Amino acid sequence: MKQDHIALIDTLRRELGANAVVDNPDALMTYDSDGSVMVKTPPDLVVLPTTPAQIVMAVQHAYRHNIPIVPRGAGTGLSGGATPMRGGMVIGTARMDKVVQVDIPNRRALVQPGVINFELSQHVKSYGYKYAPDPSSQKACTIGGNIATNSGGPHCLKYGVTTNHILALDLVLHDGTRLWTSDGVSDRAGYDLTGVVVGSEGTLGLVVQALVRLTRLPEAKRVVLALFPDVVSASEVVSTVVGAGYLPTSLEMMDRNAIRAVNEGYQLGLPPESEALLLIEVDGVEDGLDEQLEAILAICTQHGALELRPARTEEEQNRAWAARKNAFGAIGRLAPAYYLVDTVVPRTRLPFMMEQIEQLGRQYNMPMANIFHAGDGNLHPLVLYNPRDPDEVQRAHAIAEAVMRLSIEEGGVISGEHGIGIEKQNYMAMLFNAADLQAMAVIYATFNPRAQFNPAKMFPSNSDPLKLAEQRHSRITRSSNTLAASELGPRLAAVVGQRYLHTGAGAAPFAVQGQTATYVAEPADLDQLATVLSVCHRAGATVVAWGGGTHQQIGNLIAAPDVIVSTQRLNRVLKYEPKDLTISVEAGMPIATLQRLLAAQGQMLPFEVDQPERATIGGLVALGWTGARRGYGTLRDLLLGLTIIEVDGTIIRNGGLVVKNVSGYDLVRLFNGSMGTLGIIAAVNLKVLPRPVHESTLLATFATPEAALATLAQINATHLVPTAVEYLDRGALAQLGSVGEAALAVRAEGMPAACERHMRDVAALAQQHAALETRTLTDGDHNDHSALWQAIASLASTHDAIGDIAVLRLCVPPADLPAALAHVAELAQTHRCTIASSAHAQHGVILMRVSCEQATLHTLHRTLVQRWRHCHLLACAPERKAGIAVWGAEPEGAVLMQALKRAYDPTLRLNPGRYVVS
Amino acid sequence: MATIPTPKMASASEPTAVEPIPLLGFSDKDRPTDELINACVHCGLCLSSCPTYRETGLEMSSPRGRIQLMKSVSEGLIGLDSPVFQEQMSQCLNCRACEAVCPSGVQYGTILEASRAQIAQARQLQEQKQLPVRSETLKGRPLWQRSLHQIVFNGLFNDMRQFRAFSGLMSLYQRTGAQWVARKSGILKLIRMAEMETMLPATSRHFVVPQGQVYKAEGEATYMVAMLTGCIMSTAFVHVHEATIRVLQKNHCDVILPPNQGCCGALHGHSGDLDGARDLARRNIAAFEGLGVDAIIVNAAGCGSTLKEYHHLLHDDPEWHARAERFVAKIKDVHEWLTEIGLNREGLGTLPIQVTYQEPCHLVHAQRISTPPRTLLKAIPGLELREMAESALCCGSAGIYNITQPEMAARLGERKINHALQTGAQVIVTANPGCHVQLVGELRRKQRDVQVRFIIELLDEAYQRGAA
Ligand SMILES: Cc1cc2nc3c(=O)[nH]c(=O)nc-3n(C[C@H](O)[C@H](O)[C@H](O)COP(=O)(O)OP(=O)(O)OC[C@H]3O[C@@H](n4cnc5c(N)ncnc54)[C@H](O)[C@@H]3O)c2cc1C
Ligand code: SF4
Ligand code: SF4
Repeated sequence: MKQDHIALIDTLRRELGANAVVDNPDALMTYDSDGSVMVKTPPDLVVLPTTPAQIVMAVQHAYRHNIPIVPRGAGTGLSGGATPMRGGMVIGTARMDKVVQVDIPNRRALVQPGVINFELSQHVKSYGYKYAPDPSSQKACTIGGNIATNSGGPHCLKYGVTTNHILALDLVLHDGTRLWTSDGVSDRAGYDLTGVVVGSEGTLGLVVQALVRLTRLPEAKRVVLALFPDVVSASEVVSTVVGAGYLPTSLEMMDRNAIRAVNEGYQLGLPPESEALLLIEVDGVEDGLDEQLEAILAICTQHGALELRPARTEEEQNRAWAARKNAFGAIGRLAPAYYLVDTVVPRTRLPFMMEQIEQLGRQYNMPMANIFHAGDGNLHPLVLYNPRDPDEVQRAHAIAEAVMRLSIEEGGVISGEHGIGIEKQNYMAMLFNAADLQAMAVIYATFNPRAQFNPAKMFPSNSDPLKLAEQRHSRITRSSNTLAASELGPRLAAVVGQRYLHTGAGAAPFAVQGQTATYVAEPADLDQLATVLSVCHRAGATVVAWGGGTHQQIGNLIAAPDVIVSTQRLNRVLKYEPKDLTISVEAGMPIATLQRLLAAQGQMLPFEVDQPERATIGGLVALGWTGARRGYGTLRDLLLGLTIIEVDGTIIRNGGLVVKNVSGYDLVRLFNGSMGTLGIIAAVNLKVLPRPVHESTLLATFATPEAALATLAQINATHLVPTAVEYLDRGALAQLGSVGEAALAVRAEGMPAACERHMRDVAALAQQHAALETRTLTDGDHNDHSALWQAIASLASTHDAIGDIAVLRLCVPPADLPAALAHVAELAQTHRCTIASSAHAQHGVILMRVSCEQATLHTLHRTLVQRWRHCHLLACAPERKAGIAVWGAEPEGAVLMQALKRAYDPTLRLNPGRYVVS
Repeated sequence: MATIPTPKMASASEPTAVEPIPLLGFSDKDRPTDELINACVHCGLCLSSCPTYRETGLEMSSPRGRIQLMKSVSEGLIGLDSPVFQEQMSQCLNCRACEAVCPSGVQYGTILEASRAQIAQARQLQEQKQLPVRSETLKGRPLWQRSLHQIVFNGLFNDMRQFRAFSGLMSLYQRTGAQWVARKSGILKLIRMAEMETMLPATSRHFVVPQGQVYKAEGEATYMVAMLTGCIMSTAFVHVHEATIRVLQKNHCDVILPPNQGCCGALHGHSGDLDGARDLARRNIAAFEGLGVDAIIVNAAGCGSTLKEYHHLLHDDPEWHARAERFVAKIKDVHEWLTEIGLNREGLGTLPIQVTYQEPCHLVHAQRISTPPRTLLKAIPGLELREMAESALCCGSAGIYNITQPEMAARLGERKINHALQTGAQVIVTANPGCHVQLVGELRRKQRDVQVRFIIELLDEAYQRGAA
């Protein structure tokens, strides 16, 4: 081993340069831990590459020598993620700190993993952009580390966490294979590998480049420091403000001890009698911002705020923020060390938790402080202790464990942003059962089959993830085909009752792409659904899930399924706490029902879908459905948790019912858009939103597509933040019952003044491009407003794609939209077919309704795939799909997708052949 | 599945000798205390501000890594003579950027200087063959270096008359062409002084000698201030002192140059010669006592930060500690002072130039003075301030760093000058002699025609233009 080790170091020195390798034991000691210093173990060597190619080399050598690889960014992690538990090779990204490319037209940047979070934002600031996730450690932590821990930050309340801002990852796998998880184009086909790698804590591979989303800097912002006599009333303010639809950018809380510490460090002169401080920020266009702030201040006053301190100048704002961002350190001055606990609870449980935490401090006689992302319910109690006093260490850990237990009891999770690492690995079993962990372990075993990447992390220390995956695999394969095929019908009937099992003519209404299943089962609840799956599995039957049947046209069906499982009877609300703005519902709940339910509480899901009375939430999740209105993100960004029935009927849960969560692998993102090929979605946990205070839409029609697109480009260059911008061509307009060559529908939501400002500015820009007509619709106008958006959502309806009609989706980088639309128009002309196109204009997603003959459809699809790669034939008469790769070009990372499909569905029973990998 | 071997660290943890060799640890005098070391919570927030970490990407070359090394010595995990420890204590610029950003308030400068003092003490013992344990790696310096150190530190810097005499010789040497001969002949290389030699600023022919002289304020005198003349500033940068005095006069200050003052002791302190630094501190405190001035003005960032910390330096000496505290309360950096009293904007003429500001570490980090220099620059009509990237990252000069760490100094110098040149400014301004020398050297190497000036010089020039 020793000899081997020396040889390895020599080789690395030769290939990467002498100063790229550290092996002096005294020097290696400085790599023995990250920011958490809970466990200290030095690596055997450290490699500091400067290029992705060098990383590949280093990984290949580690692979050959079979030694652990531990990725390390800046080592600011707080869960021991970068601590080399089993020694081996630390690969540090400190020298890979280049912003490779800034692509403003597409609002994205290509960066190396060692780029420091804050410096990326600084880098793009002059263009008027930022990288939105801003952990408090942003001045030091790296994008690679952020990706690995799915970092959040104070501004994530409005802008979302890391996973909402990563478009694609360039990944080096354990054997040195290098691949992209995506090309970053919106709505492209394939499993969400990017979503899986984000938050995977360096256990799946090394991120060597990342394509990240850039966010427009707001035109203006307001910050206020509000002081309260007690934590409970401050917590009330948090719930009320969020619930009222004012959508602040941040809502950060500090308790008494934290106030005292920052007061000292930053001379804020805060009144010593205040028990709680809220830092509230709102941003957006200047118009309406003061009204928004006033409304929030009024809420603070109602709840007994002692003092309100608006920070007006940029300097004041920066100072207020500096105090918040450095608060942990300021508290560090009070004791030799602190243990920072990171958990999440539903927002409404904050007052209770604060009380309990205070009591824990008393019980264990340890000083504590709280500084946290209150808007997200993300708690950060800090226990101050002396690391050299074993008793204090023990008490600190006891408090942490108690807080985690309490958080779980209150419906929360064990990490909101710091990850599991080694700190919380043994708490994973508190949150997840064996099956849940096994389902996660599938990912581990697929990416990291020799447990080389960051071993001994994330999973409980007594359960080896490779073993877990193995157990699951044998569980599934052993039970497969253990039931005679003839038993299938009777057993299914026994489970769901004869009335809910259909065959023959009874199954005909459930025909998928012209094919009728042998059985259609309609289970009544979760357990029945699970048992149905189990029966199918044992009988060796193939299964297709059925929600509302609104999108069954999508994908290839290679053969009639044995069983269709309908979720329509699973339509209950499992949990709805309006004040938490979260809901858990069964998969079969139709969107319209769900929206009505939410509307009764003044809340909503921010999207419109085709046939909302039929389309189910589970179906949309399985589709990875996205729509026009993306100002709040897409359904992917609203998903908090899933209950999934695995192929053999095992019930697993992933995610939670809280808005922030980094507790294990993100199966939620993986199953979103997996088209029922990995498992059946049984229940969905969602983040919901308060209805906006006001809404309006400007519909501008133009004489040419060019004029509309030029207007679009100008809108993109402003500070306006429309929640949807839909491009409509002549055909689409005709479908909507309007006339014109091209139009833009620009939607704004928020304070009335802000909406007005959007309407005014967009109208002015449209006029500059000789708009034929501009019309403003608001939500008061006899529902014209919502009717318009409902109609837009139905433009590309797939259910009536029969005869010579086909629906296609073309996905391109946003900046290529004009070229892509021109290409489509040109093809329509050459091939003499009619194409009606609409586009989610800021995202480069074009939906086309084409009527043409078969040969033309082939040519059209092929030509578009050749040029743009992502052209999906979503719907057409089933027989017309023959010979067409409906999902377009093979996606990046197809190998891994294949492997994941094989691992989750080893017997290949779930929706076979339907999706991009078969 | 292959089992994962868990290779053991190839380290001293596997004892080879039967008797473990005791490690050379910190000794009591001037040791970095555990309390100060343990103030570091290992959060890593300082990493991105550290010039040596940015250049190398090495954890041990970061503030957190260095503190961990100190801690390891303190806890007996590694010896004081660990080459990694010595190298890192030497490679650190003592720029204190880490200290300025550290949210936990770690007093980095203090523990670094204490660590260096420990190394220096041990080295001295090694030289005297009195080290308690044998150390292969703690090399005593060769005799010539020791003698040179003796001459420079205990002689030149300790006695301003000697310093001026030496400077006079240097000036002569530079002007007579002897410099050229020496450079060409490689004599300097021979005595390993080459690096030091290129660093030497062009020395003036005359010096500012503090003899208690008073320069009266222009118009009504509102304040009376004393000025530190220092060592290098009073010889190589006489023109800066003269400019400072004129600007203070314009700003209603009577300026007195008290006699018997000397070098501030920064170089001694930074290199771990704390006792040497204490001697100088006591002398300066005595020299400025009882003058009844409103402030003691310092125009060199490095000296200013040293003076402001005399009370820490003398904390073990009850009598002098109290005197030091009174002294420190009066120390003002000239930019700080001018903005505090409100710059006299009358009579400022136009300087239509573009400048970029290189922030001296000992101003921005050690003294946390960042806005006043900019306020002063912006007060000059016509002047355009173009901010350079990483303006607060050390330029690599850091006292005698050029000599001890020539490679890192060169890398940082290059990084700095590239940022400065990118702004397209005609003048780089700064406020410290070390930075000045470093920037001039870099510009010369790059053969770029860009000036390096002190901020105070530009203010002076603006007043003169205004008067003309
Ligand atoms: C004072 C303080 C405040 C903090 N505040 C926040 C906060 O507000 N929000 C928050 O989310 N976090 C916060 N953190 C935690 C920490 O800063 C984040 O987790 C950060 O993302 C870690 O980044 P890093 O570069 O330091 O990564 P490291 O600590 O070096 O590594 C973290 C994990 O990422 C992996 N990793 C690193 N680079 C790569 C790569 N290229 N490819 C694959 N895996 C990689 C490592 O193996 C490890 O598992 C805070 C930490 C501190 C000390
Ligand atoms: S010196 Fe300060 S900033 Fe740096 S790691 Fe230690 S506590 Fe953190
Ligand atoms: S003083 Fe400067 S060089 Fe030294 S550790 Fe701190 S930041 Fe780095």
